[in-house]
Amino acid sequence: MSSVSNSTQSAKILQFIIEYIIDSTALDDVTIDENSNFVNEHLLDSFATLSMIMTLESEFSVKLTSAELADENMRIVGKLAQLIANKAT
Amino acid sequence: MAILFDMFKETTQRFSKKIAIISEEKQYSYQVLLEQCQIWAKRLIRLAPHEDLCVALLTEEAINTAALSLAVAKLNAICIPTNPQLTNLQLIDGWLATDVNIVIYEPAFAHKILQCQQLGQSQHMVFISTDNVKGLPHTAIETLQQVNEEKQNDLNNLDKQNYIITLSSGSTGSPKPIALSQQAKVKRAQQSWQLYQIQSSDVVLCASPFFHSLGQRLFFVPLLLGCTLVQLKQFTPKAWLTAAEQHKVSKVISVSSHLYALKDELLNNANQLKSLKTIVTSSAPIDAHFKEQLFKAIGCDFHEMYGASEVATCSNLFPEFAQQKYKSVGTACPNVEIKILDKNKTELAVNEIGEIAIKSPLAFNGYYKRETLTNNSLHNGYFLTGDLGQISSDGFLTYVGREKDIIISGGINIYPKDIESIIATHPKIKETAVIGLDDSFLGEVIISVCVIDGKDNTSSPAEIERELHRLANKKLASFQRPLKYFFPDELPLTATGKISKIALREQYNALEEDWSAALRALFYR
Repeated sequence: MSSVSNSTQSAKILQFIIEYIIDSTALDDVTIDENSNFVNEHLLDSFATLSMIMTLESEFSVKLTSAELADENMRIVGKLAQLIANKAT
Repeated sequence: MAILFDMFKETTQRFSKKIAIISEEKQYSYQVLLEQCQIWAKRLIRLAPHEDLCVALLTEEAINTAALSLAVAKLNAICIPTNPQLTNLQLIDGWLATDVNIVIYEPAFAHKILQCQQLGQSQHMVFISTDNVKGLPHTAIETLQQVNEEKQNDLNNLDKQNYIITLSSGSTGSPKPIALSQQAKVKRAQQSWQLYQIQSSDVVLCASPFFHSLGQRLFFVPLLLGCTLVQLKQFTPKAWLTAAEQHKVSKVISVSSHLYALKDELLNNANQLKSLKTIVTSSAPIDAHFKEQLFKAIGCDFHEMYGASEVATCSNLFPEFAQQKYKSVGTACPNVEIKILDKNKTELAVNEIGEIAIKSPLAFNGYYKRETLTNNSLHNGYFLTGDLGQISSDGFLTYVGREKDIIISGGINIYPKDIESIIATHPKIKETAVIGLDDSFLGEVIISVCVIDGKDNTSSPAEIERELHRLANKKLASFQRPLKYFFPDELPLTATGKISKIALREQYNALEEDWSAALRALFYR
């Protein structure tokens, strides 16, 4: 996949994650973008977080390993989207 | 007083030439059934004084089951219908627990009987094959008479009122021997006649085994009234549909798993099923979406009931409320009282979820010779069902799930039925079971096992899984969302036709997935 299409895919995944968090967060009036840290900002509870990972794996046909998710950057919405886009290529 | 047998005899006098039983290609009139019953009663009474008889049935042929159970009723003896699928040891244990002294079996089970006899705990039992039509061997009579002399004191203590002992298929531990009188069986039949407006002109389909209380009801309801009973020895959707159409079945009382298995056939063959006047679902409520589809396609009356073998039918959702109260199993039946209790057995307010407790004039005598077990199952005259439910302000009961069918994930109680009812709204899903799998971090995690509608060949399982994730994310709380969806061709069933969640848990726990690994990596690396 070219860098352009990878970028398009990444943007699509980013949008999917943002929409998931908006639908699932218990917080009011939050703004979520690619720089949001869904763990440190307590945007999602543990069930919603686990469900999000399983949903992303199913939606984009990827498998995320514990080692990959242990990277602190993966708590950031944009970084997580990029990882999935790279794996989906 | 042999009230059940007497009622059957009266019915036979009115309908002697009418077909009483249709099973596979065979038909039997009421007169033939009564004659068979009388023959068996004579043979049984030769064995011992009638009050001493505890007769286990290992039968699947409708004529044998009906004639034998009625013969036992005539003799005021005790009948123990038995599940042939049990292991030999389970069979012997069940018979010993219910003081069985005669086992009547069909030739198909001769090998199983031989193996049971070799276990060495059945010396006092007499085993009689149903093909032994010329009477009992003398050796058998002598053996039983000798045993009866030895056991006379014990046998004299039998509760004369007991008629049928149903060995419940509990999910854990040994089966509970549920004892019922003839009077209770008759009252239960009368209750069904009234609730579902069953008349002697009706044709009633039975696809449940006689060792299950529903199967017993489906024998006595038609045969005590003069209806025709159509019996399926084994349930398959094709056999059910063929029987319903061929014999113009008008009344069906079915476990919900059978209806789910029949989903495509019912919806696609509505025109051939115009004889159907009433469908009653039993054992577990079916989801509202499927009920609505069925209602539109068939157009017959649709009742949902709630009950337990110990207390019979307790609630009924009349057809006029099918749309408005589609999540409910109806209101309390006449003379039945329903309460919702908390863990301290205190009655809860409306709409609060707790254990369903029932007081009914149709209740069982108790668990046979299990006084402590019986006492523990009752509270102030109410039977504690072990089921969870809630009652609305207008008196409609909603079944929430088995108290034990709760998934506890992260310390939260989760009711599978809530999740199953959402998944079932997906148009490509025919049937689903939500279960909890072991997880070292969360205790349990939720997965869903789904059967895809056979008609759908446009979507791959991966596509359907994506759709189900989106559906769950939209409709369910985060703690209710299944982590994974599996798509086998069919779901495993118990002998009584319910989905076996035990088998599913065993199967999918064997995958040994570390379900919460992603969560631990993100939060607690």
